[in-house]
Amino acid sequence: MNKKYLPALVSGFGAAVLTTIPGVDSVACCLLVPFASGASIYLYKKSQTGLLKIETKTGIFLGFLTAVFAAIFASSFELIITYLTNSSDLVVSLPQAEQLVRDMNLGQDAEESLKIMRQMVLDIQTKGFSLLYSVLITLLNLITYSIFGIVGGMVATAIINKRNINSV
Amino acid sequence: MILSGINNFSSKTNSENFTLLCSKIVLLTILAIWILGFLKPIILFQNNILTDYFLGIIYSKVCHQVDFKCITIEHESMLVCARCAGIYSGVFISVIFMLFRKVSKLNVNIFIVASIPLVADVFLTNLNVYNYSHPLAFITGLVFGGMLCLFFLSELENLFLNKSINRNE
Repeated sequence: MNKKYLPALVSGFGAAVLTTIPGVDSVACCLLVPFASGASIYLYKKSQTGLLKIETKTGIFLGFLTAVFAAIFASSFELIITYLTNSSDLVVSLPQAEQLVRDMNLGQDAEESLKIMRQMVLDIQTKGFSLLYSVLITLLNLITYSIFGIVGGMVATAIINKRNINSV
Repeated sequence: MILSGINNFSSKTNSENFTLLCSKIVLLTILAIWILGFLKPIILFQNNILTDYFLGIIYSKVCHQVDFKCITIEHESMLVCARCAGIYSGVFISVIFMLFRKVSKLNVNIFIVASIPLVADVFLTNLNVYNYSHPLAFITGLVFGGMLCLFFLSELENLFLNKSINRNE
């Protein structure tokens, strides 16, 4: 495998594993993903002997790639847990959403959205899997993780490069 | 010929500077929207259940939102904890300060020094050495966020500077 992808894959997988810990998932994208991006850049630097300075573009790319791997693995883990437990965050938050629509009297469109949500919850509770839910979870993770992955990649590149300059 | 080369180089550098400034302004705008989002319950006292619900979901992705750790004004809480609010505010202030300036010299040691208070505060409050304090969490977050942003901005500048150098080569 390309030496660029392996650090991203390892770090992304590590971050995804940590997101399964209850409580840690809420800081997954602001803490875990940037750290994973940093770890990926550090590993990449270690794997490239003689490389003095990491280019910003490479840092951004590695951060993004780590975030993508983390999002894919984290979504997969969440879907496996949903399949095994027949429950998810959506199942828990559905009554709240129903209450909201009733209180706000949001009309036909909101009722239609609720119908889709109820179908997703029903699929999860009966089969343990909902295609729409899976797509939504994966997309949401991909978007949020990517943003923080790129930011983490840039900061980590700056720190690692500055450290090298100081040590030379 | 040399003069035209110099002029060409300076006009390209000006254009890169302008792009850098534009990207900083875009960053500042996004940050302002993000900060207004988590301040929404405090600055707008009108309760809109729908926006509160969706904003709550969005910010739950980036913060634990533990009630007693969120800054509360007149019974309304921010959507992120005091530390996160400090970090985002630090980043925002840093971008404003560096809008027309360039990050000159940065040392990793400065980053380590800036993160020590935050890490120490997290550990000490979790070990119950002292109670969670909103001002302390906010200030440690502010210092850390500001420093973190300087490293981000320095890399952003490198990105545009390298582009300019590569084009001139």
